[in-house]
This record gives sequence, structure tokens and C-alpha cells, in this order.
Amino acid sequence: MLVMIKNNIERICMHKVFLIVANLLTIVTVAAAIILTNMSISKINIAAVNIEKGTLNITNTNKVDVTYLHKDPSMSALVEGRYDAIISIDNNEYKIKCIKNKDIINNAIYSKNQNSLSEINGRMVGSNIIGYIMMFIFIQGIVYARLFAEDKEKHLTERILLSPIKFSSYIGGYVIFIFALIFIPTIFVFVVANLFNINIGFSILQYLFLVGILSLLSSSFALCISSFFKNSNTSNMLGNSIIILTSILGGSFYSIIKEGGLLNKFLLIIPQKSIISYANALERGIVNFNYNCKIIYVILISIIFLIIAVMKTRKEYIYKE
Amino acid sequence: MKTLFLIVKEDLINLIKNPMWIFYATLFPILLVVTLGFLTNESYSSVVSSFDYYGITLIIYSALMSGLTSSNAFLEEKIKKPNMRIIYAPCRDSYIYISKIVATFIFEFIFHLIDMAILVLIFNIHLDSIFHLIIILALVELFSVTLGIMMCCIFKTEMTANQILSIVINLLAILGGLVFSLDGYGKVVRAISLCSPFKYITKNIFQIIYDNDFSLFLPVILILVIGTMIMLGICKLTFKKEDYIC
Repeated sequence: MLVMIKNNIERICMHKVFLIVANLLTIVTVAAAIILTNMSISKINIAAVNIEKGTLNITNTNKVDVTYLHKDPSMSALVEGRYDAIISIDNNEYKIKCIKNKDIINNAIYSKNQNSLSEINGRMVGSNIIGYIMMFIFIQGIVYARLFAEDKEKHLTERILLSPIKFSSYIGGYVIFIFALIFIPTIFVFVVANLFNINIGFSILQYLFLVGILSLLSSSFALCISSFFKNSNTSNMLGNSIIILTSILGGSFYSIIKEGGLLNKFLLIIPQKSIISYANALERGIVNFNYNCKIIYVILISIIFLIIAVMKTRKEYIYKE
Repeated sequence: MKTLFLIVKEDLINLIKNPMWIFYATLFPILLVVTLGFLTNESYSSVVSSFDYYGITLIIYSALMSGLTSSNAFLEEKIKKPNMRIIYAPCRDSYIYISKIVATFIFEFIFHLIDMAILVLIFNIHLDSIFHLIIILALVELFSVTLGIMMCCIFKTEMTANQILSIVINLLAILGGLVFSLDGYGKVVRAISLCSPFKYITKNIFQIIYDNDFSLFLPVILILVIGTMIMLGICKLTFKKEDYIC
């Protein structure tokens, strides 16, 4: 296995530009995620047209942001999401105009319960950061696994496997290599952010664990997809599509809550959802047996991907009569 | 020009023969819109449904992703020998990358138009002045395809170009509010999202559909056309045929 890792390091050092740019991009994306979470304020935006300040009786002022305007904003501003609702006064009667569900807006404005909005968007800084970097970590796994796919295209795999190396060592070397390439720059950014006392939500030890799990899942998924196709472009694009779809469905950017029970159960299969809920629980300090099961589920899925990769490669490259 | 037409024809056949790229151009946008639309259906009312928002933003996202197809079509393993033959043939060297741009543009534009038609028919998405929208879609396609080819000309290897292109496209899409609306997150995030040109494009489209306001139309077209011209210029400067001989 060590031979494979040394070989891969020498190969990637031949493409120095690629290595430097890839590491820079990782650092920039993680830094952008940290900055974005620290600067974003999640409130309900209301536009009040021709209303004097103070006449609106809003109970949760720290969850609602009111902008006083003199003219009606355009309908496209509502569709874009700039304002969630427009309140206007007409013959001493208040009119609310919104395109989103009226109940959510009414609840948020008039409810006396201070915690009601935090229940809807219940994520703290750390889990938000993990959510944002998740998709990029998975995409990087697919890009680095291109070395493996190129092996198959250029028929190097046959030569390597003729030597007395085990299949599991061959794939294991790739896993460790991709894991290290994703893990090290990411943790580097978190350590530097911690040194500058920026609020990153979790401690460094917790980030080591969470980013480790993400990198393991990413490299095992990428190798599993690459082992199925002879063409590196096919595996690249299929992997990209699956990652984008499952990351958005798994709630990496915002939580998707659907009333119907059946669809929620289907979404539970996606490992991204388990990671996000575990990160959420870890930040609030309410980790119990249920949440530990979710992380064990994610680790199990990674191991299953690796086993599939080894078995598929073995089936393809051993000639049986 | 006749040689350009022949090379474009061969590139188109190469693109169509690959089932993965057809899936990426046809089924993937529809899948994205359907899943996201169904899942967020409850936060929207009947006047403007979630499909109205996601139908438009995700088609622009798919138009942005066609940059990946173009860069893959340029630097594939099996295209290396044909590229070399074109270098030795008696035609201009710029035909190598111009033909890839034209072929990918035709391929992606036709499939995305079909997708848009299917989505509008099934989900009753509000549309207005279709002529202007088709022009915007065509220019976005051209912009992203040229972006893909420019990355290939600068970085010359498949791995680097793909890596950078994946991340740049996803960053531009997320900052421009294509996957989820960044407008409601406070002043700082709104200012950051102005960095991406796709924020202006979606703003323009929503203004055309809902307000009949064409004020942003000319600036958006100018930005896209000037961007494409600059990128074509960079392609011409950095393309050296010695790098593509294998």
C-alpha cells in the first residue's frame, strides 16, 4: 500500500500547477464558507410601505427586519426573495401581500414565542459551515479520483495488477491518498481561523472528526463510481450529478422539511442528511445513542462503497474461464 | 468556412454518441427542477409556485454547467489524435477550439430549449416575452461554453481544467443565488452576491416576467457579450498548438 501512495505522490507532483491550484481552491472555498456564515443574518424581511415607524406592533424585533419604503416594491423583488412580505396601508386597513405561505409569515410576526423562528431555521454556525463545505469536499473527491480513472483508460491498471499486489492494497492506497489531499488543506484553514479567534462553531478536535468522516465518504464514493466506468469523463459527470442532487436534497444549504412522511423517510437514506443532523446535535451538545447511530451509518456506507469498488475491480481484471 | 463546418459536424456527432452527455443535458435539469420544486412546494403559495422560481434558476444553472461538457469535449483522451490531425490539416489552428465552442453550443442549446418547453408545459411556469428570454438563454450558453474552453486553453490538462471549472461554476452559481435565494440573508451577503453576474441575469429575467421591466436587459446582454469576447481573446492568446501534440 505504501508503494502505491508513494507512486501517486510522485505522479501528482508532476502536475505541480494542478496541486497548487487545487489546494488554493480548497482554502478559498472553506474560508468563504466561514466568512459567509459569520456574516449572514437570517431574518424575515418585511417591506412596510407608507407606514410610520412604530405603528407596527411586532413582538420579535430581533427575528424580523422591517424596511420602510415610500413606494411599492416590484413583484419581482418578492419572487427573488428580497422581501418575504409587503405590508401596505389602505384606508386605515393593513394589507399583507406575499407569495410565500401566509401562515409562516403570520406566525413569525405575531407569535409571542421567541424561539419559534429558530425552530424553523435551527442551525448554528458550525453546522452551517459543515453544510456549505460538504458539496465542495465531495466534488474534490471526484476530481482527485480521476487519477484512478486515468489508470484504467491508459491500461496502467493491468500492469500494476500483474505484480503481486493485493486488490485491497491498490484501492487502499488511492483511498489514503485522496483522503489526505482533501483533509489536510481543509483542516489547515480551520486551524488558522481558530488562531485568529474567528467563530467557527466547533472545536478543532470535533472538526478533525467531522471533516475526516466527510473525506472518507467522499473518497470511497468517488472510487466506487470510477470503478464502474471505463471512461473517466462518464464517471466524472455522473458523480457530479449525483453529488449535486443528493447534497441539495440532503439539506446542505437549507433544511428541507416536508410534511408528507413518506418522502421524509426516503430522504433519510441520503448520508448527507445524517451528517448534518449529527453536526447539529454535536453543536447543541445533545448527542445520544440515536445520533451516534447516524454516524455509524455513514461510516458503514463508506466501507460498503470501498468493498464494492474492490469487488468490481477484481471482477473486471481477473480472467475466469 | 467549409472546413469549420466539417469539423463542427464531427464534433457534434462525437457529442451525440456519448449517452452520458445526453443525460447531463436533458434529464439532469428536469430531475433537479422536479425534485427541488416538489420539496419546496409548501413554502410557496398558488400565485407563484416553487416551480416558477426553480424552473428558471435551475435552467440557468444547467446552462452554466454546459461549460463542463465543452471542456470535456476538448480534452478527452479520444479527441487527442483527431486534434493532432486538425493541426496538421491545411486550415486555421483556431478552428480547433472554435469548432468545439460552436458544436457544444448547438448541442446544449437545443436540448435546453426542449427541456424548457417540457417544464413550461407540465408545470405551467409563468413566462412572458419569450423572445427576450431565448436571447438571454443563448447568450448564457455561449458565455459558459467559452468559459470552459478558455480554462482548457489556459491549463492544458484535463485534471486541472476540470477541477477549477467545477469549483468556479458552482461558486458563481451559489453566489448568484441560483440554488437558493441569497437575498434574505442580510446586507453583507447581498453585497457579496453582486459579485456574480448570474445575480443580474436572474434579476433581469424576473423583472421581465413579473414587472414588464426591460431596464436591465441591455446591460445584461452587454456584460455577456463583452465577457464572451474577452474570453475568446484570451483563448487566442494562450492557445499554442505545440501543447496538443501527443
